[in-house]
Amino acid sequence: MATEGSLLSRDGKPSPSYDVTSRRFRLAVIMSLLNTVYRSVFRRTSTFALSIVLGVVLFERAFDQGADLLFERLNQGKMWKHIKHNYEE
Amino acid sequence: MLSLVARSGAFSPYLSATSYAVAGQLKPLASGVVLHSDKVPLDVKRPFLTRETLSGQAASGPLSATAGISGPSSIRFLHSDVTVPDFADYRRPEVANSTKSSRPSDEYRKSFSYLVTGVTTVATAYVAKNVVTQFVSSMSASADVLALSKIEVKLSEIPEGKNVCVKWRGKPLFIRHRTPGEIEKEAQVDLSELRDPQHDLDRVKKPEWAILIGVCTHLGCVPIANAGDYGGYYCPCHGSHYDASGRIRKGPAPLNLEVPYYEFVEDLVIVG
Repeated sequence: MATEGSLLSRDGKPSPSYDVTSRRFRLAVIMSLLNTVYRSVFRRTSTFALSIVLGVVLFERAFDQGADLLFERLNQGKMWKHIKHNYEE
Repeated sequence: MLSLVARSGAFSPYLSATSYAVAGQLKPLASGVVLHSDKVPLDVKRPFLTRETLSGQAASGPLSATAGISGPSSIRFLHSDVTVPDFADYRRPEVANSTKSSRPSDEYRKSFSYLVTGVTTVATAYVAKNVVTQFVSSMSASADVLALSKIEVKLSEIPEGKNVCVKWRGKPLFIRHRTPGEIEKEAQVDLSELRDPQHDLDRVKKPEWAILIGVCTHLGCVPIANAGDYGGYYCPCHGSHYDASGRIRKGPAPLNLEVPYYEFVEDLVIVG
């Protein structure tokens, strides 16, 4: 089973012939991950389009909330909700 | 063919399927040397079938061009001296070596391309959605207009039996604090005797408060409160009588007085 391309040995641990910290190993991990993503998502147009739709939904949420968070951090103490407790009981 | 030649008139000499041998542009410097010893390989027994067999039989000069009706003539040169450019800078590192098989890195390269496409599409869709949202939301009423479109009226300042008129969205708004007698009277009106049948409880949220738009449904005059035959409103323009629930009872108006959207918040009524 231990072919040249396989990164893990039979018991699931990295093969001793591969240095986990090496650049080559990381590249190989990225390659195998991308291959899995390609086979499961990108290969069919339907799943590709679905992944784009889901990606937009998640990206919009993350991007908008991240931008708001950054804005509030840059304007800490200047906005009404930061100074509201001084004026309202 | 004969009819075609006959009809084509002046073009008939060009429509005949004949090939003309054209001598090449390169002329030998020393002309006139004819080698009689070389016999032209002419096989007279060979059947004369096509142009190819003809040219096989008779050699006709170093370069020849033929023109016929069957197709365009062309001379094709062999470009064996052109060097192929080096595209190594444009190749992905996985396929830099042209002697190695590109198949093992096939899925990796494709997934990278699809990843770039997908990320670009996500970003484009996000931008497009926001642009469209901006344009569509610019068509809706702005916040200051929406803020002016509501009115708050303090109910504790209106005594029982009184009708208050306030301006709301450019129109008069009647807020009537009804007495228990009026509530009782309006609740017992038979719907069959009404022009625009509507029960009193369908027109009010709290029976003590009748909130109406003070525009006569006939031609838009402002009715007078606590007047008319039914003790509600009376329109002085053409004599429409409304009761204390704002329902049309007598006169030319076709419909009951309009009830706007409102809600009670503690001591306040918020209309709009």
